Amino acid sequence: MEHTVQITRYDAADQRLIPFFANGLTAGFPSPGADYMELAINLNDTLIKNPSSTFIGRIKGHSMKDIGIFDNSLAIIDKSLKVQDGNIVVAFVDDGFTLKQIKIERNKILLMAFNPDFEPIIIDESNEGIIWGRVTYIINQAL
Amino acid sequence: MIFGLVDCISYYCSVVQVFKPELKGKPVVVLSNNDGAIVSLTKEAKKIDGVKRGVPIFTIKDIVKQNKINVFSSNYSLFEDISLRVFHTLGCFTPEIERYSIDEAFLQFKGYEYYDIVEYAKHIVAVTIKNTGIPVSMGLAHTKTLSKVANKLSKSDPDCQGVKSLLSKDEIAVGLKDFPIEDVWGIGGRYAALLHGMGIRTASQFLKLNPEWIKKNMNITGLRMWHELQGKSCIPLEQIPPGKKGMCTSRSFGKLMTACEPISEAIANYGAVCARKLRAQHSCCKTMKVFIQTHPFRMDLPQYNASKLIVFDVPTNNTFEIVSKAQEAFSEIFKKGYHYKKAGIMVMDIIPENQVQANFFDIVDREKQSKVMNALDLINGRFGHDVVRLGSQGYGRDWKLKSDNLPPNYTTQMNDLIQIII
Repeated sequence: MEHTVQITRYDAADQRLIPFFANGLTAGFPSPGADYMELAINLNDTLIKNPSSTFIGRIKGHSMKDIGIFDNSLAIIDKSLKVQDGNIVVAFVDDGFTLKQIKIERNKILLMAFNPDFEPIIIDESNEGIIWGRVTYIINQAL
Repeated sequence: MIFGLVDCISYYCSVVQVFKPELKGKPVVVLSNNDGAIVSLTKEAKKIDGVKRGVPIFTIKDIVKQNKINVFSSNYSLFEDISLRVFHTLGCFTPEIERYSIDEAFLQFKGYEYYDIVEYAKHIVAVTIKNTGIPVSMGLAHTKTLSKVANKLSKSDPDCQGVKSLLSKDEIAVGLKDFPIEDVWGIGGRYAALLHGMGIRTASQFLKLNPEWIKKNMNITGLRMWHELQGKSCIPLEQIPPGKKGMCTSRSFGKLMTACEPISEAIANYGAVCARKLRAQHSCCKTMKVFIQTHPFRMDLPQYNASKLIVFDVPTNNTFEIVSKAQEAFSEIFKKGYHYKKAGIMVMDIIPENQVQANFFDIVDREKQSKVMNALDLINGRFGHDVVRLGSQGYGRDWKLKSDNLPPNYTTQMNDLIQIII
């Protein structure tokens, strides 16, 4: 049997939120809530499941306004996820990034807008379109 | 035990292509600091005559224009961020991994005897490409040296799906037969010349040499290489990067400098970089060297090189302290009448922050200073390098690096995110 000691480096950059007793530990009457202390909410953990494959993009335009995706919203994109019919995706078409709902038909892929003023885009050789990644969350600033 | 050497293909160019997919399949090159020479190029660029790694870009201006080569400056914040993503993705597949350089990693597979390791490697390669957008290839072998050879071979084999194995005796024999000895990992120019002089051109010819001779003429490193090339592992995985004993921040100026102030400003900036790097790795330096140089190839100009060593009373990583001492030292060595090309700062005798020996006569409130530095790092981490800076760092119009076509900080700055037009 092989006995080895593995030494790994402590990575100070990997921050964790740890409960913090703001009123200190005094000898007086303790806060009855202290026992129920939970870890603080970390939005990074919630919104980004795979940090190494997640990218963020800034949205410009109005073609998705009917499903609440607005000009200046942020899109969180996870390249590791499998893209399926109906997903919101970021695609690269005609030399630019765009964001649409993907519709996969038997012999073609369509990018659907959510705004009656916009036609669907067909991905084919002429526009050299590629699906760049699947969108997991949209962040909008409240009015 | 099996090693896998993963290498990112045309790494810097590939990073640019992730965010500019329109450049896929096009000739792209990325330049070194100061837009000097080509450091990375795509296979389409390699095909063009005169375009090679190491070529100064100004010597091939016409070729660049004629062939519509896309030229980019180096953005190391971006390259480092994507490199860490590749590295973390690889780390999901085996716990034992050594980051060998910004675009290379050794993986070690222990206890994978019941896996079809070649298939598994192909899976790793495919997932890494999908998740990060960076094309990678892997060489598999029982030693690190052979895995490097295998990786090189994978690049000239379009059918191998990015994975080449030199695991069996037969594969090794075929792989090394025509493999140039100078391309073997660890063969420097000197040994290559020695071996070429004896008529040894390939790795398999090298293996026929007598190990006694190798040990005598190429010492233990050569002997290790000889063993490694036959599949006997001598170089283990290094998972903990050795702590840095010294760090140097120096740059060539965009143009020759004669005045004192702009160089002093550059020195202030190098000092700030050193201090920031020291804090990032939680260490302090005991000594520091400041140096300036004229242009060594400008024989028509008078030459002057000088340096000064500073020893700190208490080891430090404080920007104020490092910058002010560095500028003091610079003003002592600076002489008028010369055209300066380069300046730099080297910090040495680096020790962990928590092992600093205090000085009885110290008058600096170190606790307070360290809080100031923390705040500085937090602010600059959030809003960008040197948003908060010392006045002496200036805004570097004269001495600054040339970087004409810098790829944006797509992954680290909110203002540089990819734009999605909908």
